[in-house]
Amino acid sequence: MKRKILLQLVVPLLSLCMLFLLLAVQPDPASRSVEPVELSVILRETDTAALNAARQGMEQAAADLNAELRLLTLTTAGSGEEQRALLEREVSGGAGGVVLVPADRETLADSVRQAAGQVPVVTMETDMGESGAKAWVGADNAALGTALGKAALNGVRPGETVLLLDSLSGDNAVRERLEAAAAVLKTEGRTVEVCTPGERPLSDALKTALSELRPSLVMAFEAGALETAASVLETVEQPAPLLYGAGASTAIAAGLEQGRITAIAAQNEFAAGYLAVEAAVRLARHQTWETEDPLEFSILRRENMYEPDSQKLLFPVIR
Amino acid sequence: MRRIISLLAVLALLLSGCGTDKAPTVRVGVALYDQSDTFISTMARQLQQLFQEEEQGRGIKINLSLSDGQGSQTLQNEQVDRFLNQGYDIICVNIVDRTAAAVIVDKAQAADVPVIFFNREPVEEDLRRWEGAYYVGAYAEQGGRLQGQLVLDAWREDAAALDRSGDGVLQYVVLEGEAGHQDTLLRTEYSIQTLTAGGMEIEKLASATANWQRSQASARMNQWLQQYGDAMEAVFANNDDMALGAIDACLSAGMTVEELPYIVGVDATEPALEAVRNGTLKGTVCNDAAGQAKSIVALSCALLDGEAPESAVELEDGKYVWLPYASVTAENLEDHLKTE
Amino acid sequence: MKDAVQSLRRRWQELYSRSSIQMILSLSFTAVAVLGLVGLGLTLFLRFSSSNNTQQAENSQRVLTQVNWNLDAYLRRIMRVSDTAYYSVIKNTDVEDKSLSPALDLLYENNRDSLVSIAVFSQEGGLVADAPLQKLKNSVSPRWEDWFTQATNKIENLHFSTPHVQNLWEDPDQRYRWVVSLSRYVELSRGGSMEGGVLLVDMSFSGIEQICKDVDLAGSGYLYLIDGSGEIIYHPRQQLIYAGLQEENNLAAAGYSDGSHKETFQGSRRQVTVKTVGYTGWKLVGVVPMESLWDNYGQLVLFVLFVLLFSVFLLVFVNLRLSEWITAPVKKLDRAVKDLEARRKDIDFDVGGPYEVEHLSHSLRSMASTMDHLMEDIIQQEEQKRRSELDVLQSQINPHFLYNTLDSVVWMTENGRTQDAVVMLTSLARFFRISLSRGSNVISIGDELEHARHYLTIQKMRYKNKFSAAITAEEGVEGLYTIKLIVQPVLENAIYHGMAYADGDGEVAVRAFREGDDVIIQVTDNGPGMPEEVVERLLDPGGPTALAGAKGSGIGFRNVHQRLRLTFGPAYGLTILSEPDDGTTVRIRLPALDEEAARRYRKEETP
Repeated sequence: MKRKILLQLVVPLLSLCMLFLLLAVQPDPASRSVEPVELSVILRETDTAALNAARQGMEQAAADLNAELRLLTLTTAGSGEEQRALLEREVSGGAGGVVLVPADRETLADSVRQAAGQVPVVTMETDMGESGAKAWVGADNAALGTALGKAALNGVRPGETVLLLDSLSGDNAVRERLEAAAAVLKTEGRTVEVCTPGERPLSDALKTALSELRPSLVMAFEAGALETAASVLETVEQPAPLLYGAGASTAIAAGLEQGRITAIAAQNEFAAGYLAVEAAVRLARHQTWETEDPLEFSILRRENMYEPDSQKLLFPVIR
Repeated sequence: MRRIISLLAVLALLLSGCGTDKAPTVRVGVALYDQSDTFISTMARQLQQLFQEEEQGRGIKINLSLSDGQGSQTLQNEQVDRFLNQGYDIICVNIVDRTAAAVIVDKAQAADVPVIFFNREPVEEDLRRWEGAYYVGAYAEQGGRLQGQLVLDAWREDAAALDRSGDGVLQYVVLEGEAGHQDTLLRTEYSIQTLTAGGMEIEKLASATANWQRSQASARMNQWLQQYGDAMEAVFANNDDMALGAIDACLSAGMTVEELPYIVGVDATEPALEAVRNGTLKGTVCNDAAGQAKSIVALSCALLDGEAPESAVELEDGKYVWLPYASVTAENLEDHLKTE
Repeated sequence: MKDAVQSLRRRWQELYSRSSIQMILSLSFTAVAVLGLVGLGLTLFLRFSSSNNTQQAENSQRVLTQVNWNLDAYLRRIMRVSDTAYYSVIKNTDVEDKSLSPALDLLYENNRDSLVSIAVFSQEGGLVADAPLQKLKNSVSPRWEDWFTQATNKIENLHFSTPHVQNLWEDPDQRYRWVVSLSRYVELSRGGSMEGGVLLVDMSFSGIEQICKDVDLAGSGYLYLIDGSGEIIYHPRQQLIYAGLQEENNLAAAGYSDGSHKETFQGSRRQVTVKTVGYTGWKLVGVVPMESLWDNYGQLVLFVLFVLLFSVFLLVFVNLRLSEWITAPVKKLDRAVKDLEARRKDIDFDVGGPYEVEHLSHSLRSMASTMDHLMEDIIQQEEQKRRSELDVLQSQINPHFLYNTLDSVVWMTENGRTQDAVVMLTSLARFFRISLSRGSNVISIGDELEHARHYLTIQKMRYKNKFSAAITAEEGVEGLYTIKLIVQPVLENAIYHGMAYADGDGEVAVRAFREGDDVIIQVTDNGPGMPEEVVERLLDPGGPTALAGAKGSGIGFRNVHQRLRLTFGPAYGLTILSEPDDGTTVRIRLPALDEEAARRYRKEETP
């Protein structure tokens, strides 16, 4: 009899208690929180300041999706070798995912392939899908170059020289943009010269090229180079060549406003940063991530830079 | 109920904690008062590089997170809260409002996370609230003295070059930093004191705050140029940004480099050194950003390792790391750049 | 319908009649309680969920009112700054003589946290004064800015702009700040004459953000602020919206009136509460996704379900125990009654339980004992009746036979057959001695056969040797026992019905032998036999006592059969095998009783 009561009462009671605990505990949001994903963001610059908007996007995404960012800068800007070393170190150090702004496809191909086997690798600007990178966030580089080239046609008469800055040696987005722009300009009968700084600082190389080639238009294909070119051209005696370029930062916006830069092709850097981190986090969590269409970009000039949409694109809302 | 839940949570944490065997990760949060401040952004960059080096050297992971307070203490408090909530191991604060440190110290104490203030010195009483609070910075007083010394030396060397009016009295203006900041008060006070102590006769034409900002300094200087014109013989700026603003104003008013008043700044930021090189800025006092960054990193690492902070840095009162200023003029510019 | 109800009722009744009390009790208790609980729970839940919806809406409304109040106070403060700048500074100052800057500076420093700048422009768009001191960019012409034209178009109003990047001021640090501009038309006095101008107060986002940010809406609810045309002024995810990564239903919200609305946006249903901010025409929009409302519900439902489950379980348990407590004694009682029916002895009626059951068990017990007594009485009476009957039956034989025999003796004596008369009287004496047997009714089979032999002797003499008789017994059978006077009536029957008409060739054989545990005494005659219906009638106790035209009547025959059956059980008695013209065989079957076994019957017979 005693045993029967024990069985009848205590066992179901205990199981009900267990059930209750499970019920009570499960919906608690704190206990459902997922482990943060540790993302290594390998940049191409020595400084995160230039990438302010993209960084804000990354941080926003990290906060939204519970990720931890490790922003890694280089000691030498645009060094593929250094990126490779960083990439290998981060992957072996147990990063949950990598966001990479590749400096050079060739140098990085192998290590990206290797890294992609272990963690999701998302590249920005330069698509490295062929090397196994899981996602790419950036504008259509060829289209951007073409658009920039077309925009520049107004600024340079046929026969005059356009100087294109190949600021990042290697196979990357800058190269793609440059080639597309060069193709447009050449077919329209403009002389195209390419300035490759190589080992020298870009500013020095540009100065030399300016004095030698006397171009009527200079074109840069990434934010850093555009900023440098803007500051170099300021020091050049009048008439300074027009400056076209790709990239968006407050410094570039200021240059645009002050007329140092004539036109830019800009994408929403905040969105780029956000999407890159989102892609990496989702992939690291084994969720699906459709590589979206390339980001949209627009050609901005001084006249339209304060239009509401351009404002939203150029200036992140300060929080 | 709640207790059971928390108990379970703790259990889960313990279990998950046991499972990981990756390289140890430490999280360092750096809250900056305003990233657009040149000196601060320089320091931020240096901190980033130094921590990255430290990471490579020690084979651990250091996750450095920078946050920009944008000149708002409320925003900065939120950022510090976020750091603490996310379990950061150490927090470096470049506090917006130096009178508001008590809140942050208390929060850090509650979370038992050491907090290192830098560059903007909290009130001593606040810092004393907890032994886990430190300050890394430079003697503002010394900065002021050195700035004054620069002018005093130049005066002694060639008074005529400075004293354009030839009345034997140095007419000067002061561009002050943010109201309430210790550097504003001390730098102004001691630079002038040094001059008077050196036996110079001086006359203050005007002084105004430009909130450390180049644009405001430039606008202010513009106003003074209209008001006093050439009468201004020296400009004391509490920092380099404002000194550069003054130079901007003078140059855009059509002055040549030779016609510029004797402008001195503090901080020795890169643009300022550039200005020293081309002669527009007569001198600046190096507020050792690199040194401060190094001290912060050394102190952080010592705290992370659980070592006595005294072993890593020179600590005064167990709280303060003071770094010396050094004056930079065109003469010793190259030497300075080398040591950098 | 009616059929269904009927069949249900029938089925229920079937179930009811088949189930035990405990089952019925616990089932019905539980059913009623669970129904009650579910009903209560459901009512409460429905009531709660309907009130929750309205409460949620009210809560959003309340939060929005609070935020609205704060925002209103904040905007009024900014407007007050503008008012102060205008009425206390600009109106009292001739810009020719005196700079507006110090006073504006003071105002600005006072409200630094919420302001970006204060500036006064002339009608042509030239900068008159500003705080903090900044330079106007060369590239801008304030005259064509929206805030300027709005102010000059409607000069009596204050104008709030949508968020935009303030690009008026030169900034070597290249900072671009998002601001909301408050502009108004002002009258400037310059050198004694009045001219128009515009006062611009740029407020930073942070003030508005702080008011709107940490509002406490249910679940993942949030709040955003739009202007009259739906342009977003503040949104917690503003940058994401600006970057095109997220969308908001702001344009639709601009068309909503104040109050709660339900909308479906990007596939999710949400509750939207709108509140218009005074003066500016801005709208505060609180968004609470329905899912987050149901999030709480889900948990609640689970909780309620659990409590229900728990109580049902408890109820079932308690009811089981309770009904068991009530029904266990009844069950015991039931078992006791069944025992009673099965005539078992020593039935335990002590079942305990509630008063009624206890009482019932007492009654049953006394009833059972009364029944036992009555039963015993009945048995005794029956016994006595049977015995007296037997006595009567036994005594029925004698006078008739005695009369006939004595009659024969008289007749013999008269005829001088003294020798025969002596033999007959001797046999008669022997016959009666065995009949009496000193009162014992159980005698040895040997005596019984002796008794038969004397009887035959007498009858042979009476019937003048019309028949011959032989009595044989298997060895050992004579030593066994039987109740007395069982063979003689059979013989009597055989003689009266068979031998009376025989013509010297009648034969009667008595044979005693064992068959298994039984003893068979077989009486065979070669008389005319009997038809079947006579045979049947002979052993039928209810049959007519006399055969028409027959002497004897067969009473003795039936008597033997009944006695045997009464004494030894229905397996024993007489069997008659007879066919007309083929003689009759009567088998007397009785158990083989040794002396020991015979004693039992003897004792029983003893009164």
